[in-house]
Amino acid sequence: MEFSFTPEQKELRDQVLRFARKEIAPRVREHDLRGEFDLPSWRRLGEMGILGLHLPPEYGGGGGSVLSCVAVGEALGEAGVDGGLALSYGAHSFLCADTILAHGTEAQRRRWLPRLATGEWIGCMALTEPGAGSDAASLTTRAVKSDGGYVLDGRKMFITNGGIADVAVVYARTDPEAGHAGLSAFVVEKGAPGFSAGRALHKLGMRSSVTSELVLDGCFVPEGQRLGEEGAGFMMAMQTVEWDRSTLLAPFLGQLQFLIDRCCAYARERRQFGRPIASFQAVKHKIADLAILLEAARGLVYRVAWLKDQGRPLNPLEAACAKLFVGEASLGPTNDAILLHGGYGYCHEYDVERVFRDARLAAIGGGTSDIQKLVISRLLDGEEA
Amino acid sequence: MDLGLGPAAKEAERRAAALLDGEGRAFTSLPLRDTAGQRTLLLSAQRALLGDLSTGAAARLAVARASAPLFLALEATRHFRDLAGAAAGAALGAGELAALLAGDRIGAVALADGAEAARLVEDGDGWRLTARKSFVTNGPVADWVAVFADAGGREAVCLLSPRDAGVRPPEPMDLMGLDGLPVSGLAVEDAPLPAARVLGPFGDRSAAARYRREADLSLALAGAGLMRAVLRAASRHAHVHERDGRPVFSRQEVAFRLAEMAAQTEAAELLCHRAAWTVEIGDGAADTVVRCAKVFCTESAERVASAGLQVMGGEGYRRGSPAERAYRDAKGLCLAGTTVEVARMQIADALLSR
Repeated sequence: MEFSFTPEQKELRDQVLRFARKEIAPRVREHDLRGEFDLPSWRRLGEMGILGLHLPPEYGGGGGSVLSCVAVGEALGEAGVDGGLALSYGAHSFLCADTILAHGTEAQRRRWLPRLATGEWIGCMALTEPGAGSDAASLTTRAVKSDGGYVLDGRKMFITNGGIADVAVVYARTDPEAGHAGLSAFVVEKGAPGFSAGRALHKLGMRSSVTSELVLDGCFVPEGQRLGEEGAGFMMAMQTVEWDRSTLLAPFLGQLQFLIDRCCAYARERRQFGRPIASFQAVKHKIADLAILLEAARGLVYRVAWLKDQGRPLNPLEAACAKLFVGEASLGPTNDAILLHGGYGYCHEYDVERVFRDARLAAIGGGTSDIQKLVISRLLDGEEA
Repeated sequence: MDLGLGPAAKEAERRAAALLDGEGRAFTSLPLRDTAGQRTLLLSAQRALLGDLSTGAAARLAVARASAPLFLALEATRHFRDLAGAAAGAALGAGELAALLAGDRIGAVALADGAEAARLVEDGDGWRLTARKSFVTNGPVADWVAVFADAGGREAVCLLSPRDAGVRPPEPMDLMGLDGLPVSGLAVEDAPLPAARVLGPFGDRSAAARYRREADLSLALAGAGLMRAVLRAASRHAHVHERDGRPVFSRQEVAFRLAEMAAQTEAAELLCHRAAWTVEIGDGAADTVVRCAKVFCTESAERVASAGLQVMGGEGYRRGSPAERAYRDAKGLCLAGTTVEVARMQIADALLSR
């Protein structure tokens, strides 16, 4: 096995790291405290080509690989960019734009992708509902065939970018009797009659990403805005899992490096009992545990991205292992980073408590740890574990 | 990046797994003092596998899954071969070198630390060695032992035969786990050595540092191998063992525990691959990545072994079950080489000095 990034990927990573440290990180605390989306930084990321990095050049993208996107995600986290902005980027680029790229017609791609690539339009994906998340077969949002299109009715929940999105990929039921096979995907544009954002949700972490309900109340969607065939929605939603387990996990890796840097700097500077606390064994062990977690998590995330770049079918066990491991294993060391900072760690201006809050989502969003265990255990057949 | 296993690695992995399934079990069930039996099995495995173990992690993981003790014994010979290196021909003679390369000789490495010591003093054209070292893997069965020694403040490596004058016969040590692994102390009293059998003295201590890194990587690989072996045994048990008319796997508590074991095992194996790769390419972070692998894989092996035992219940608690053995073995892996506590200190020191 060979684990190196290409020189181009390293250069891209360094470029994003420099930019994010200088331009985004200084305002992160303010946006996190206010629960406010950082639109200026979003625009700059769009200008740099980050928001459309993985899209083909003919749609305004950079033609980058999944591993390049992972390198960008790590750089954002390492720079101290809050998880909220990184999450908005992930939902926009991978859950929305990539679904249109993968399943849209040429006309659909040309209509939406160029402006998603620049970030002029913001995208989101709307799958989860108040009563259905991981159990996608129980989604109740309906899409009833009407003259020249569909009428959508229902409510969506926990939608990242929901309140600010210009373009939403919405999953709705076209056949109430068909379970998973009864789901279809539609692109709904901001301003469509009957389509609105409900209440914004105040969250423990990822506070600068806008998370909201979406309301579909007799919302008419032309047939030309259905993605793929009727009934193919579940398969499309599951394909986003590949992104969720690679590029969307990458900022968490970067945040671990950010914590290591912060903990080392603080431990060198902070003196107790006449010496820097970096000289105490218990402090060193906390720093080491962050590094051990980061090294252990890297392979899992990189492998999912690499498999996707190779065009190989994703092994659901490997993807779920990445999600489960990053989500669960990060809780202890990120908590220890706060302990290492003592009272300062509990305060906002030292940033480590924000990373702890943001990291909490890794075990929840996109399928909780229990769902990952369900997926993994179904694939352990007793012989080839 | 290329995270797939190449055809050569896959073939080595297949060959190791096929060869060792039976021999690994036989090795662990040999009586403590059956050094003849240990030698026979180890030499047979060396002849078949040593060539495959030299690069990458795939074949090494396959051997470690079949038997962690046999894997560690093979690795000890490999470490000796690496240390003796190009000088082995002149030091041991062409015949011994050929036998070593063919896998017909068993090697061991003794690196004294703490209160232990190995001192080398000049004696005319040659040297005299006095050494005390505990826990030498392959000690009771080795044909050759590479002993790190202090030569007036500089580091040297002595190639020692147990038949040399001044070498006390090794006494096999009875360990809590790693059944079958031949381990002994080494006691050498004023043993005369010709100059050709002393490598160095060197200008720095990098040979010992390199050996420690290699040994820690071996222990990480052994831990990852143990994890996979326990996961397989526990998963198999959970699918066939029934309670209240259905396999215990149908209970979410059992299935989820196996899922957690699987995630840790996947992470451990990939970290081993990554650590082996950093060593191969001479990456500046190799020392730290290997230490991270040592800590993560050996501590995770303890957790996974404990979870596997719980899944297997009474069957797992029986002496000789894969989970019971792994439970005892994993603790040894945490303690051997660089202990997990010292490794954490070294990881943090490297990060703090940046």
